[in-house]
Amino acid sequence: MEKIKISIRKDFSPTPGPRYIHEGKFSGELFRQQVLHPRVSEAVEKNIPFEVDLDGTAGYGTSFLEESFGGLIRIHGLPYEKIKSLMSLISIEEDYLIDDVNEYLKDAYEESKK
Amino acid sequence: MPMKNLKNKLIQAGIYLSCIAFGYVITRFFEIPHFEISKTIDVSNVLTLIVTAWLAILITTVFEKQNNDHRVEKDLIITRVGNIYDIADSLQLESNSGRIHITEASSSLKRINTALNSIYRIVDKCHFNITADLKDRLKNCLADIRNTLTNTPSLTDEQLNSKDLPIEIKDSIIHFNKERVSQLEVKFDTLKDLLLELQIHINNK
Repeated sequence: MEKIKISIRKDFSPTPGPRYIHEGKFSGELFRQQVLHPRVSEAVEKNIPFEVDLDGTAGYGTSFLEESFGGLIRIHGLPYEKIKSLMSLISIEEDYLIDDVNEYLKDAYEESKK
Repeated sequence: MPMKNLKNKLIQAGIYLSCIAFGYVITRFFEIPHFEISKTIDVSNVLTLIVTAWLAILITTVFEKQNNDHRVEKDLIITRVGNIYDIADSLQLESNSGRIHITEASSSLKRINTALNSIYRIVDKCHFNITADLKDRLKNCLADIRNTLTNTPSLTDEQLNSKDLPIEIKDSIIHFNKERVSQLEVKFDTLKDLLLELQIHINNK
């Protein structure tokens, strides 16, 4: 089955930065706008799985990941359940990031229901 | 090297011969009251003596080697934990200044986390283990530091323009207010305490 693959290191930057574009280079907002949202939207529309590889970077600040993934629901209004069912995450170097990203998605979803 | 071995063996042989000679002299010239020294030797007693001496040497050598091996393993792992302590210390110093580059903060935290995971993997291959409770406390402490150090809240423009935010980023440099610096200091001290606890835990195993 076809799968959309996203590698933050290869498709965006090996040194992810802050949350917002105005805060500095390689922000989570920029990553979401340029890479994550177009590909995840495509995956959701075509109902195909997508994989996000978090390994190989210098490390992530909490706000980069929150803005990237939480923003998919908060800003772009993508369906939480759909994202959850289609998404797989790779994070061998920092395994706890998988839980973190799932938490950010859930929090954004809970927030959007209010 | 072979000459040295030969010299050692000659010294050993000399010591044994001296002991035998000393024993002979004792029996020949001295009489110890209430004790009678037999002039004959039972072969079974000699065998028992040899086996006992051999076992004593064997057990001592084997245990000593095992203890030495474990000591070296523990020292190596404790040194690795010390390296993590150094990274945490330098990150704490940077954050105490009230400003740090976002990439530097994130990469230092990643180095700490990956180094810790590597230690856990190495320890799994050794003869001891680290308790789940200590691992959890370290994990939670690091997650807490990561949030306090790199999580800028998702704010509205109005909130963003307000003064004295606990944390804000300009040109990829994180700026902390005094309150946040104090919070970070406490969290880093907790991390250092836990790393010390980990070192003691490994040393006591």
